[in-house]
Amino acid sequence: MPYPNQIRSAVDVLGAQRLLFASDGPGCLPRLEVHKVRLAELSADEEERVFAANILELLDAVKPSV
Amino acid sequence: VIHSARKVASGRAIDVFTFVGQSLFGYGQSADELLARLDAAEVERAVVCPVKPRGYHLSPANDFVADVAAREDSRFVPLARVDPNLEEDAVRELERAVQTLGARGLFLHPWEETFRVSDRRLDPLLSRCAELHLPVVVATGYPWLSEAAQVGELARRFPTVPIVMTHGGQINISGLGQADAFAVLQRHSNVHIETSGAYRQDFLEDVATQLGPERLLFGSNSPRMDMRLEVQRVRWLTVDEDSRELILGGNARRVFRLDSSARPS
Repeated sequence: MPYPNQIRSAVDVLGAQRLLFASDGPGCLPRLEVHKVRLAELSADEEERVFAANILELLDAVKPSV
Repeated sequence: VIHSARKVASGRAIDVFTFVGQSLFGYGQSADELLARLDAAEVERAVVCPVKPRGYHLSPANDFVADVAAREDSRFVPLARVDPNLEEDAVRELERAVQTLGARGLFLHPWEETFRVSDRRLDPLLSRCAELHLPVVVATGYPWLSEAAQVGELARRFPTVPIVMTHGGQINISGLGQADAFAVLQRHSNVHIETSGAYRQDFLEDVATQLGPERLLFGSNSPRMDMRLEVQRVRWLTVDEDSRELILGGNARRVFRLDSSARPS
């Protein structure tokens, strides 16, 4: 999806907690996909959620207890 | 309005796919907005397509783009846009746009004007392009109307006309159509692709390394896509520096004959 403004819209409409960064590398260039998210001009908190916090929370929720 | 208008970017990048004007379909930008985007992306010049205006008729849009290009003639390269459904009137409008307005090529939008790009009704138009040495940019990838194979059929009939397929010859951003686009490039040496939205970096690199870097032209599809992202797509390609220079601007200069001031007559 080559549209930074659609990332901005998705955050506005759905909330930053619903978006997860992914690159589809190596066919797509991870560096370019990071650049795309940065061009969406999210707040620092929103960007942190999209790049890392959301997936870490999801993984944490399914972590087997030992 | 004063811009940093004569700013020459590193690499002298030329964006071969932009629009100026307000489209019937909701998108649009002013000449000033496009200039600001060129500066922000460090792109020197733009090939500018007219939009389909609310009045439906393309002649006023051709006038408008020619007018802004005349004011910014070192940075905007105007294309003519016609509706091939109008047959001989389309040929006349192409001639007017080229010979009177200074258009440097033809832009076809089979989706917005609703025609199949492989239709024989385009033959008089393409014959005129061959005579006038004009390149043709085709909004490519639209189902039934401008799939890569259909552009290939047009290219087969007019092998001397340089044809540029927009967004990598595809519209589906998952890469569906990629193999067809590659096959068309392989078969028809007069076909090129423009890079906007073609997010499979490996596809662009395969075209450059297997078919030659002269087959790729940087374009942004501004304002529908983000020029700041689209230019990085090309600047970060894993190709040698000579290839990158061709893709960013050298090929545009050759295909649109930008080093020639001669107006087709």
